[in-house]
Amino acid sequence: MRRFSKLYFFVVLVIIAIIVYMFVSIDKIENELRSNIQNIFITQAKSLASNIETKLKRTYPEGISKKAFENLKKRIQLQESVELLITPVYQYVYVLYKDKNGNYRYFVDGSPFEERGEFDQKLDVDKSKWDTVYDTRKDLVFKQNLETVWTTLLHPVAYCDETELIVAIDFSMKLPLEVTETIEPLKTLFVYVFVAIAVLVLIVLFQIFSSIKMKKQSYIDPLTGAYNRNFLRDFITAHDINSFAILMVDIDHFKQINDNYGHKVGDMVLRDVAHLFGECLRQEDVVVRFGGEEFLIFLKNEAKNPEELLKVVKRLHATIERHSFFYDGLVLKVTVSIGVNLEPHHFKSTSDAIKHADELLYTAKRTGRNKIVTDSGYQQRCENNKKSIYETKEALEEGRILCYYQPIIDAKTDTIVKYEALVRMIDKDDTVIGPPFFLQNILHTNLYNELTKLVVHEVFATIKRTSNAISLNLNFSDIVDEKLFKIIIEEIEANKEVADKLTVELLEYEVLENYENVKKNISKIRSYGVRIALDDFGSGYANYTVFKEIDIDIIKIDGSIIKDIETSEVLYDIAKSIVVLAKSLNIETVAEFVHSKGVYEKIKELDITYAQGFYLGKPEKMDY
Amino acid sequence: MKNVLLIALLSFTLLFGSKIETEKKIYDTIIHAVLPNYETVRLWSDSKVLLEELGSLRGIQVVNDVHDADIAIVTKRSDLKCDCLLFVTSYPLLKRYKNRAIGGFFWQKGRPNILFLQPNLQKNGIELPPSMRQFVEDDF
Repeated sequence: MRRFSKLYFFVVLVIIAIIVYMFVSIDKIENELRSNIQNIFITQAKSLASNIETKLKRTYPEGISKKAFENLKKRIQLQESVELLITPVYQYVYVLYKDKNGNYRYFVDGSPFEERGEFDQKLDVDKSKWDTVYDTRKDLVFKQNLETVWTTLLHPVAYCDETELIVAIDFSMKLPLEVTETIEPLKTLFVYVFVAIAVLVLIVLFQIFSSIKMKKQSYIDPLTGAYNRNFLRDFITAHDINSFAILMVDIDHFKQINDNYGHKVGDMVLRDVAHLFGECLRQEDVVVRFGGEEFLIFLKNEAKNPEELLKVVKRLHATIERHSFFYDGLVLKVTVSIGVNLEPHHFKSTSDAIKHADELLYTAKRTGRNKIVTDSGYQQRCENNKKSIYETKEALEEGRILCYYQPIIDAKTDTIVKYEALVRMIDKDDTVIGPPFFLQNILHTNLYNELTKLVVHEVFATIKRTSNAISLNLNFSDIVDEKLFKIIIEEIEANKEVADKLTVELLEYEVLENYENVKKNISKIRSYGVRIALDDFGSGYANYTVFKEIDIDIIKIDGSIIKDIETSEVLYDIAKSIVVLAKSLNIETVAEFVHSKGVYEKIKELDITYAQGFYLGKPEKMDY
Repeated sequence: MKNVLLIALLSFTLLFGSKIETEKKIYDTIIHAVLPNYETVRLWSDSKVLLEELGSLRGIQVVNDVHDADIAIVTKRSDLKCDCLLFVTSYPLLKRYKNRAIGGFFWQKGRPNILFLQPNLQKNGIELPPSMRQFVEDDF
């Protein structure tokens, strides 16, 4: 915008400069034209004066003697000749001589009758100039300060290096007037051109003003007064985003406000929140209404001081939390969740940086809302090759998310009895990436649901093609989430003829709050013949009441217990106690992380039903 | 010095004043040069316009009867009979009254021209100041 303003200003300045130059030039041209025309007349007048001199010398070849003064006939003839030279421009043409007193007197006067001087009549002239011509015998042209005479040309007539007469030609004032009149149409034309240009400039200025005004209007969200996405598009193009921190702000439970109090109240909240942003932030910060109740804020961060920035963000958060929103007797309290991308320079593009702020906002929302989530660990996560939501989405869309299968061995028969499906992302460089690097980021997103559906679908497809029993990992939260549970049940329903070959391994690390739902949904799954395993048992929040509430078929003893079972008596005893517990509850057991023959031997010794680990088989693609 | 001043006055008035104002100043200078000892000069003219112009000058009193005048300014030919000083406004008139007129002032080719006739000045016992002597014609 500023760049455009500068350009417009420059263009206008250039146009004004051209107009001024043309105007100055017109005066210059007029003066030159006037001077040239005058010179033409003066040159012509000089020729006429020379002609008169020639005539005089022919008439009086021996000079102006007393005889010449007395020869009236000759003077009349001469006067008639000089009269012929009178024109509107050459107003007076006359010849004077200088008497003994230094006065100038008429010798011949060809001027019109009413202005004609008589022979020998004195004419009061500017003697200094006439004497100069008389003495120097050189032509002289000088401006007059007379009412009717504009300029006078004096031409000496000399005989034997002695000036005897001076031919004078007075130019009429009509000459400069005629020159002016000649130039006038040209000047008028220029004036019209100037006026036309001035009008054009005004129109252009008006257009520029309108365009800027319209552009400004197109940048503003009419409801909140914040910038809109049009502005965002231009802003990220024109600015170095690395000098900003990016905040993605979402009004918590905004839908409920709209549903409970109506859209007018919702609009009021949006307006007031945007207004509060404006009050809390600095002039150089930018607030964009990103979506319905989502705002994108660019906080100027030239000092690269995250602590200071976080203070601003906290102040913003606290201001909104403290503020009471009033509408028609209603008093509302509103909170916001904020995702803060402090390091946009780590991203390939501004778009990615904004997406990351969005990811952080999602984290804030799914972990309870009304909080600020920053990305101070982002760099660390980058080093750990964690994938963003968008990379995961891209991989899912490109079919780069698939299942690897690790065999599970019957410890008594040493034969593969089933496989555990383990989800993997194949990176663009064919690197195989495990779920810790991409699953965490997509939890509680639609993408997670899509991924779960894909995995369940693929597992059933594999069961059908290979007739192998396969176990599949799910979180307890997956079972509780109605939408996701529906997806899972739909897949099981669609493959119910092979559902008994599926085992669902439930990760136990999450705290269960609603057993009723879990129980109901697990019963539903089990009704298709699907077996339920409790994964990673023995680590984290191992909660024995789960056996009371839920029907469990298999316990998978956590790898952290198994891997050192060979060397640690404590771990051996823990595993033993789990096996005892499982047997007493008629539950099968699986030992994970069996990485050596020694561990496998211990597993056999403990009478654990199944074993799984790199010693027995790595996760691999399953060949059909 | 006075000569320079007169020329300067002529030039200045020609430059910045109107023709009438120039005329008034020239007449004022001439009348008081001719009649230097008169506190008030009684003036007559056959031109009402000229009388109106010059009547406003300090030290000039316009009279209706030429016989009451100290100086008469004649603008056209007439059989004027009076004992006062005669001043004319054209070269032909000066020739017409060459035996009586002390001088004339007229415009020619846009230039103001002043002429004093020495014989008539002498007849009337007038001695012009040096600044005016350049305008005196001994022979006419």
